[in-house]
Amino acid sequence: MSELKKILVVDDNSANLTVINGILSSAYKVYPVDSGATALKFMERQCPDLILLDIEMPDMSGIELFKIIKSNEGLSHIPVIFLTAYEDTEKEASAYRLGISDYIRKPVNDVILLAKVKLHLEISSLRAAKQKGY
Amino acid sequence: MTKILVVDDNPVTLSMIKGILSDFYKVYTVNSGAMALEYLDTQRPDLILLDIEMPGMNGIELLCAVKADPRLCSIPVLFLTTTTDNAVEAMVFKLGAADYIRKPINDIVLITRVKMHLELEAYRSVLGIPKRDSYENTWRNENE
Repeated sequence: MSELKKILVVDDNSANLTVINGILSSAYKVYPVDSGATALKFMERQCPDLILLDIEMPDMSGIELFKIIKSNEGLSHIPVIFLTAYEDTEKEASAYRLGISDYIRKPVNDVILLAKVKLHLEISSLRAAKQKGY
Repeated sequence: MTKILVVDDNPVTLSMIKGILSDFYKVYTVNSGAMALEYLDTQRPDLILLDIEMPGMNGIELLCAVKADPRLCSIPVLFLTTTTDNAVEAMVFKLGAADYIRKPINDIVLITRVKMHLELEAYRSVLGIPKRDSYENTWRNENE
């Protein structure tokens, strides 16, 4: 069996981290961190296959962290899914304009989370396979 | 040119979606499940956008008909939902839908999602990857 895909989850709310870890950890290797700074520290050493990112965080917001990830050559290919409590479609549209891969509304639903994570991991790995010329 | 079938009983939604997508894709709009089946009898679109609530045959029934047909079952189906209820959106994944898009339709959200699923299908066909499993199957495989 191939190695488990690595998912970095960034959220300042520890209850959210626990819920998401609970949903994903049977199928993926999940790394929960509670701030943008800790996320950057993690990515200095490891490259996750996908990132789930809370928008509203104190200090570094999810949007700021996202911009750093996208401006870094070694990280910019990683699919990033925003986690948000907003219902507003305009906010969702502006997140897509920035280049995010998807948008999941809180409270997180397990079926939706699993489906979206699987979808973006597949797109990302097929894109990489195609670039390698398989 | 990539073909998209849009099924919705509301003519305003149909013309709005057609307006957003027709610069990029060949868009076919129909206002009922019966009309959609008639179209699908002779054509195979690359992607289907499907309203849930329709009189006569609803979107869920149409999805099941598409998924039961070997010629059509690998077409990605994206639901158009008016609900803000996660449970409905979770259910459509379980039934084999590829995604959902909330109404009112936002042009950027619609284009991004449609492009993403067409990109995935293109990779699958280039790389010779078999058609989409239903959510139920993938769920089972990953948990075994």
